[in-house]
Amino acid sequence: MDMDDRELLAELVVESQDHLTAMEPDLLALEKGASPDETMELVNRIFRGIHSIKGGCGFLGITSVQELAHAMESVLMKVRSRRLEVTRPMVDVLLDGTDRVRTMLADVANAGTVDATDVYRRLDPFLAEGEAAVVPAATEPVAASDAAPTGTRRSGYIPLTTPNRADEPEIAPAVPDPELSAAAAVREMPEPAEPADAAGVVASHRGAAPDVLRVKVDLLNRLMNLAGELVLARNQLLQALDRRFSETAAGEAVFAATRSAVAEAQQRLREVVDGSTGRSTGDEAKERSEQIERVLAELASHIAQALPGRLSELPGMNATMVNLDAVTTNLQENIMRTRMQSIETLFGKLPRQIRQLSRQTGKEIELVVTGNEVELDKSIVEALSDPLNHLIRNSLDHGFEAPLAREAVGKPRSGRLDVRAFHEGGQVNIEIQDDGRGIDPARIRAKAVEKGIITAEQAARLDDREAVLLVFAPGFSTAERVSDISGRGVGMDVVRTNIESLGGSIEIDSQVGIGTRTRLKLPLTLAIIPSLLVRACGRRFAVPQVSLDELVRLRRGRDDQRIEQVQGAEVMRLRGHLLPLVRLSSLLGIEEAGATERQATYVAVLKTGENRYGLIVDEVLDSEEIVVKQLPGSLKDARCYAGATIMGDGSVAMILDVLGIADIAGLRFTEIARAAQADDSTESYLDRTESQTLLLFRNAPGGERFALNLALISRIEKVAAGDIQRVGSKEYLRFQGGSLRLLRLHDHLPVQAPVDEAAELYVIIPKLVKHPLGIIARECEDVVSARVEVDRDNVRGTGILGSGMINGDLTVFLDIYGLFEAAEPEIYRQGDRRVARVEQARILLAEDTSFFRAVEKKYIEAMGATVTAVKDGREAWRLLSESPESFDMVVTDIEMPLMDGLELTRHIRGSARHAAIPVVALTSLGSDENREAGLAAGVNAYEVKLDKDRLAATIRQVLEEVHAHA
Amino acid sequence: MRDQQYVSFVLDRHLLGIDILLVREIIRNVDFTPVAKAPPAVRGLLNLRGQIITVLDLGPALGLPLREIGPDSRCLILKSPAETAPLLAAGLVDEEPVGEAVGLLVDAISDVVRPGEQGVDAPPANANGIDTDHLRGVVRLEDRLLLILGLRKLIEEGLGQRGQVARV
Repeated sequence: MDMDDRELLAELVVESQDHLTAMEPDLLALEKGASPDETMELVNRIFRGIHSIKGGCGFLGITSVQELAHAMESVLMKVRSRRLEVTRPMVDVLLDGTDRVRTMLADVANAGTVDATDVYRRLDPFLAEGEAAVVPAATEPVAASDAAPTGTRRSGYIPLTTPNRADEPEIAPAVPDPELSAAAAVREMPEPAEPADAAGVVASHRGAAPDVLRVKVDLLNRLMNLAGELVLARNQLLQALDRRFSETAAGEAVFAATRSAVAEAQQRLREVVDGSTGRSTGDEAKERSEQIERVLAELASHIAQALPGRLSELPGMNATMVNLDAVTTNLQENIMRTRMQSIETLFGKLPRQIRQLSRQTGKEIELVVTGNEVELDKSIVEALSDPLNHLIRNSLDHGFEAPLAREAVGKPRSGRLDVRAFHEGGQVNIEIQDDGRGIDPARIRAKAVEKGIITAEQAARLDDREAVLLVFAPGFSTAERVSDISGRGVGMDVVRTNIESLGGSIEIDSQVGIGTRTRLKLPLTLAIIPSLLVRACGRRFAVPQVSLDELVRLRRGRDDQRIEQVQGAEVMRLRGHLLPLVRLSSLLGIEEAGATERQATYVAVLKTGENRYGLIVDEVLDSEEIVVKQLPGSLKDARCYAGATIMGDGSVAMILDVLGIADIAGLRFTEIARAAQADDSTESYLDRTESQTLLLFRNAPGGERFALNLALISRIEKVAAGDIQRVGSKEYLRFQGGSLRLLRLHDHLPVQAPVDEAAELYVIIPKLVKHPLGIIARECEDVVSARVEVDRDNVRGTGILGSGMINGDLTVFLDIYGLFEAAEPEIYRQGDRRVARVEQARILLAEDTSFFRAVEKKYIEAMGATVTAVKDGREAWRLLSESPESFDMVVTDIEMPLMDGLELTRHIRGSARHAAIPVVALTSLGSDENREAGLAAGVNAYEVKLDKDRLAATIRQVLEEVHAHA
Repeated sequence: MRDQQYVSFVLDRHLLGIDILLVREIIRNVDFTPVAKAPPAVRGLLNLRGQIITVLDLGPALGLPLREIGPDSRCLILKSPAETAPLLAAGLVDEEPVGEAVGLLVDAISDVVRPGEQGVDAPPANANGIDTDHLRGVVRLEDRLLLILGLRKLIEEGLGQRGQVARV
């Protein structure tokens, strides 16, 4: 076979496989029953598919396929001519036939060795059946058949006459080939319009089909590489320009300084020269001075000429760069898109699978598939096949009840299996939902204990949701017996590992008696992933962002962040739980000899499945979208790398394999740690870890000490007792051209009142409330920064948050909102719509960097709030404008394209509809300048990115403030 | 028989050569990223116009120390299987390349040697301490010996894949 033929053959195989794939759902639809018109349409389509296969294989001399296809085609022809009814056994044998053809095509060279006698045997009756009915009217065709040389062993269908014909048309015949037209002449005699119809369908079909070209994956990969290179080149160019800019700027500064120094020297000299004119100290000195002056002047002019050319003077430079940037990104995205494959490739196989499985299990299932058009990277689609298969099998085997059992509990006989694919937040979600019996947590617990995965005591501690998660534990399988369908030793743990290795996640949601929903979340592509760049011992590494839970910065002298030793292993307490630690540099064996402990070290908290561990690195550099390059084979044994990538400066950095590192480090995530993690989110950790700056004051000398967060205080005024005016029972202070109502704590709280009136008092004026009330304090003691655990039980009451120990003294924390509400119930009434509880808050997050977007979203969601994330201010503003009532808060990045955070804030503040929405600004740099600009624009608070605790505290605080304020 | 040409290079105190048709290019950039936990002969990874190249030091496989990076250090980028396939088919080369993109780290590049009529002699039993297994032959130059290397086994050994042939 020459080169051309080989290529043709490859092409034919791919094309034939496509036909087979397309035929399957049609066959299944045929079996389900359809209107006569639909049936005809389906039969025609299947016929065309099998006919094309027959033609192609005949042309290339693959006779085994050709003959089988021919036999199948003949049966279909009888259906077309209404000589045969579609029956289940017929669909069965046709499906088996397509399978057999597939097998033959899988190894074309040995196609002839595939045995298909059973298929032929089952096809024969159909062929014979139709034949009998035809005989009376078929004088001519019989002659035609007789005339044709019968080269085939089997009878009952039209024999092949010319197996190797090149001119056989690919799709159903507009110009029918002789043998077919003979057949057509016979079978379709009663309906002469039929062939024309078929041709018409083909033509319209062709016209409607999108313009498609087959491209080799190889080529796409190369294009992908080139696009990657272009991205690199662009990054390098940007970096170089950046350097050049700063060099130019630095150079200019030097020149300017030199110039002014020369000018100054000139000036001084001039003065000296001028000053000496009157004296007779000699013309010689003057002449010399003038010479020097000339030299200086010359020097000055040289300097002026030598001023470096400014890059910014290159016309259009900036615009060009922006353009190049945009085009490069666009190109890369589009090339990436060529690797995308619709999920139909997978979903298309489901009807067949369900059909087979429901037969095996005796269950009746109705399959509903949506989202066929959703696209994913080819490699993900391929890798998804097994997990999806397993989940479907699981549903069929364990999920659905038998029809009778269903009827017994009042469900419809046939179960419903929903398989959905949809986009959400830049990810693809795949849901598999059944209305079966659900997962029984009690049974799971029992099984897990029985299998020794957890102890009975641990089982008792798990809530139902956690119990269901046990199905992911290695070695767990709920199958009471090993069945043919699922439970072949491949458990859900393997499914989860597979999904996670794709950078995805899996969730199970189940209700006993109602059903189970499994949701897979997957990235669109594996080729480019968001990652965090870290450094250890001078080397850079990329950590896939999908595995990153949070970042913790270790500072010296913070006891709560100390690294401890437990049984020789390093651990850290994170919010009260032990986190196993791995030092990246030790693990890789790259520690520098004699390196001392560094000042600030970071712990990247990474997750693998249910487990988390901390990876100690020296530095956290940046987050970046990186192009993943396959790991060279020689590095696979190292197990600690997931791939390699190329940095902006052209050097190579390794991508860390989060699971592999845990393996190498031999981390044992004990059940205790896991159980401890389970209650991790149970609340109040914020109170424990939050560091606050507090004003300490007393209402009466020797009385209780009160604390108020400084962030809530606008100012503290020292006033003379005589300045306080009384109107009825209320006290007022003239303040900033108005009058400020004052309150004394003992009037509203059960606290000690001062026994005498002092001449001077302090008035604490809170901020961020609509109707501020001044709080009268007798003594302002101190301002301290402290991390205090607020005890909410010990001292309680309206207006009191709780109590805590500061410097060894019990201190009462005030809740000014509660206090004000008690003091002025008319104004501070609960009637507002805005929510104070973070758990109910709907937050709009604007952030352009996808990494930060994902991390911040996760942080905020962890607080229980609902987050809608958008890519820039403009999108945020659009959403706000469309539905101003949909959000309780805006959290925005400052630097963003199109519309930055400040502009967004100004828009919000400038609009009557939105002015009340609180805005929290985030920045990666906590500079004062930024802060001021933000406050000027009207943000309520300003927070540094990636500080999970502070962000949470700030959001909580701002929501509470706004709540009180409204 | 075609007129064989060999790229000669210096490794330690040896003058070694490989078939020029197996070499894609020679680059000066030896600024590779070292990779911890890699086989010892794998010195690191290098970015060659977007492609990740495994930089291999033939030293260990030849019983020599690892290379010191110097001003003359070079990287010989070998052709990929796709590039070599036609040559192989045409019988121009008789060594199958390994699957991954490999660059050989060498101390210095020397001349392209054309043995011509003189031809390549069979390797001696012991060539300056280098295992004959790795040699395809010897070219006697005026002042010294040029040892022609058989690459496949050497590279597989270096990549830690001896016995398990990697092919793409």
